[in-house]
Amino acid sequence: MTAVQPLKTTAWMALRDVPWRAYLLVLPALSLVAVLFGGGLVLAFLQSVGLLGLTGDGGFSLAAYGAALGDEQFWRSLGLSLYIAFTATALSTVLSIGLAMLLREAGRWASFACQLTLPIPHLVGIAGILLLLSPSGLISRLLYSLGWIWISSDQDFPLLVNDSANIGVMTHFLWKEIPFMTLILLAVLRGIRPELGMQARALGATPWQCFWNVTLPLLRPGIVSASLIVFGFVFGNFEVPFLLGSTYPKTLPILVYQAFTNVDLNQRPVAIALGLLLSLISIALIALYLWLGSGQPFRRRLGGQP
Amino acid sequence: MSETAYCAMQNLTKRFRGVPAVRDLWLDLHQGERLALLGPSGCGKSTTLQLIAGLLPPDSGQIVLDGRSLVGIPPERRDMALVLQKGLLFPHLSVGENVAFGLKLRGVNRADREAQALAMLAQVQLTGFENRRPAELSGGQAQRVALARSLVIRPKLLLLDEPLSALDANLRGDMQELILQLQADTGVTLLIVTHDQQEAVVMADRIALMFDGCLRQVDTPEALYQRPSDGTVARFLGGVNFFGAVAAGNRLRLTDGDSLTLDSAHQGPVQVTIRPERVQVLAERLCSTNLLPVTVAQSRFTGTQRQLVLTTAAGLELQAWVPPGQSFAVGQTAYAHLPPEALWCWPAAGNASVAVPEPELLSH
Amino acid sequence: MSRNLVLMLIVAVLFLPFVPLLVWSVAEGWYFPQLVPQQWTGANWAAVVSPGSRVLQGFLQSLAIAALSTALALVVGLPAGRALGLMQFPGKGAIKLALLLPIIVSPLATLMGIQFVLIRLGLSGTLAGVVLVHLLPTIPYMTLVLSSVFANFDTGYETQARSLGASPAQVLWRVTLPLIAPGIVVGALFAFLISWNEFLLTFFVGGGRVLTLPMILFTSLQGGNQGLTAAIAVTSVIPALIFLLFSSRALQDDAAIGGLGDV
Repeated sequence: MTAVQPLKTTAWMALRDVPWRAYLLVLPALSLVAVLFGGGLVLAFLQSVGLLGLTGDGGFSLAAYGAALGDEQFWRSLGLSLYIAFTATALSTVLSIGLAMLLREAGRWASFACQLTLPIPHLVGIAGILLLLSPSGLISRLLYSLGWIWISSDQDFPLLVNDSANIGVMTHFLWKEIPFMTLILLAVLRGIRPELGMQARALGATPWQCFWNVTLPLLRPGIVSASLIVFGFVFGNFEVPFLLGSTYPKTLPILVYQAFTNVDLNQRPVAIALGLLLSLISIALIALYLWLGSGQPFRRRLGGQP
Repeated sequence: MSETAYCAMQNLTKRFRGVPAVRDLWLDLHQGERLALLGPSGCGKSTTLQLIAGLLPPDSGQIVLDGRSLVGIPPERRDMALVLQKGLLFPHLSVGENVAFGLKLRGVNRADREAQALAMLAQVQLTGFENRRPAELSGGQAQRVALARSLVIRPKLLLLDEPLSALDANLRGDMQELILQLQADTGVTLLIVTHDQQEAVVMADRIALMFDGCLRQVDTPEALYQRPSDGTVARFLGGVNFFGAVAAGNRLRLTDGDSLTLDSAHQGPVQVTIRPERVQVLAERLCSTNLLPVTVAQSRFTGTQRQLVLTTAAGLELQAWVPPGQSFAVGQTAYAHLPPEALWCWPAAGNASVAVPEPELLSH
Repeated sequence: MSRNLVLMLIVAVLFLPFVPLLVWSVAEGWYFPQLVPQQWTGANWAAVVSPGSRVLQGFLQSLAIAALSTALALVVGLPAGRALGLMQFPGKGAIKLALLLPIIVSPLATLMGIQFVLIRLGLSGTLAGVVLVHLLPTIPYMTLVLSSVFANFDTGYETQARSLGASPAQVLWRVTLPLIAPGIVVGALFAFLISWNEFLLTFFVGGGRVLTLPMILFTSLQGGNQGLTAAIAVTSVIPALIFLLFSSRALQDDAAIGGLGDV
């Protein structure tokens, strides 16, 4: 038996213990993302405050933010963007959990079915939904040919695309994101040991209690991750609300797009300020969501110990 | 089958894709009893346990617990608790929450269930562990938490499925001791499934031996060792000495001509067995009955005993496990004494020669 | 039984938007009340393959951009995935989150910042610039998938191979890569689909000069020629669908997809 060496905590030893290899391995990916994403954000910020750019005198100015925030349209758009992102995420999360539980034992076929919409570009989905749900779309024609009295012309079909309730947008996001989430949740679900459910049943859990107390908590990290990806995507998406959404108000990304493509180059800093506000809001929401989703705020200790 | 059985399995049968895993099983447990279901892996003992727990529906037969038939009763309403091989603590709950899990399901309020969980943790000597996560526990600690989690709901029947097989040998003894202590304290009826004969002997009042989905013998450990119903049972429990003989009353004539005395009467061709630890090896002819002159063919020291292989002049092979202090050289002549009360025999027509399942190694 | 019914219903609903696309692509003058077109035509498909529509050109450019950005993402994603999946080090959670940001935070502001530099570097409106920007979403997806795959990888195989006389390069080529191949296929599939799908990034840095298939489809969608739009849309699905079918075996690797559920 050899005696355990006492730990020397000299700076040199500490440096030697740094897992350089791990940092070296993540460096290429991390630096690319940092330069592209972080660098892009910094440059965007500099442009938005007038320190950098095509126009302006190069002096610091918050005029672009004033213009962005001062416009009533911004607040309407923010509201709409949040509404669409929250509703689409919440609906797809709940439905995906249900679907994943339903298909849990259905084998590989279920996963395959969920992969169907994976390779379809959003723009293709948009085109399909336009031709399906628009007043002269396939569903409208189907109802007409079935002899439904209230459809005597395409004017009678309820507006489902470019409608004020954004039903078309929601339909598209659910159509695309539910299979995506279900696919992820099914993979996570298969990683949960089935014996845990068995053990819960043997300790007196009804199937419902088993789902609520065991399966759902174990699935939580998967749910948080998947819904985070979906929320971030929906909140920042441009083409879907642009082509399928309401004409007024517009979502935030459309506002950015319009300011960016405006012939008036003075609108450019406003576009960038709007884009930065959009990024800032999503980062704040994501931080909040991750904090709540970690379960840490709700964890309590037993036995009255500090 | 007694009328007063606390838990009765009647005519239980379960097939998987037509292949029977459990066949026509009848077994009674008395209240407060410790029964071990022992058999090689794949013999159907875990299936039996799942049938009892309600995790599998039987193809036929029924289980009665405390006067209530459990046909169609889901697992959560059977008043049982099951401990599986690796403890299977819920990874998303703390140790304390794991123990309180069953109480929470039963609607016990938070203060009560926390108090009960803490008391139960104290009973399994894990005071102060309530806020740890399952991942921070050793295998033995996890298994103790699993035990506490099962006992805290005061089950009518505690089912243990190979509870100690994932633990290393030193720990296993302590755990056996703890389980016996907890069983004595709570008086819970215990059914333990194991492939380890040693564990079954230590843990159980009675052992039910199972091969190929069928019960072979249900008896006390002593009876199983001394009076196996046939060769398969004897071999599974470590029997190594088997020889053919013809019995006439208390007299046995071995095929090689030697004769032995029995303490019971038999007639006709029989199979004879004697446990190796019951064979006494003497350097000199100290008594006159049941003494066979032998040559030491092999001598192996195992730490706690010396295992000898002996051969008689007629070529009969005999194993004897003697205290380590006795030393015999290979090639030495000696005398093997087979005490009449240690000899056991059954009619030769029995299945002493059927294929014998190998007892499994202790570690998995 | 009912489960199969649910499954079929799901497949049917998911497939529904394709029905009008397929019909429109071969229909001529399909007016409102008609459930089935009166006349069929190959004109839309002829337009798709004709050089004038630039669909084929866009198709090839999309393919090149998706292939390049997938390959680059794989090159940086493999080491990063290994570190995140197999090693413990301080700041790992923060690094993982940083790598994830580009797919959960709206890229609009970033894009306008990047574009400012790309113009000065002369990369705005070039294929290289578009590929570079497509790395923003492809690297996170690739890294997530691969880190989960590596988390389920037993390095014992590598040690074993080294002890049998394989050099580190041989270990990588003959042991590690074959073992994680299904994960690589899934990561590549996601990266390819993301890039193939991308409209906004291409629009902002391509400056209208890099014409990918989504750009053409976007323009066509605003135009109003439904037959041509449908034909372009159907064309857009084909390569991704082929990739998906080829990787259907690899997609059975739960660890790979599960990586997206472990952020």
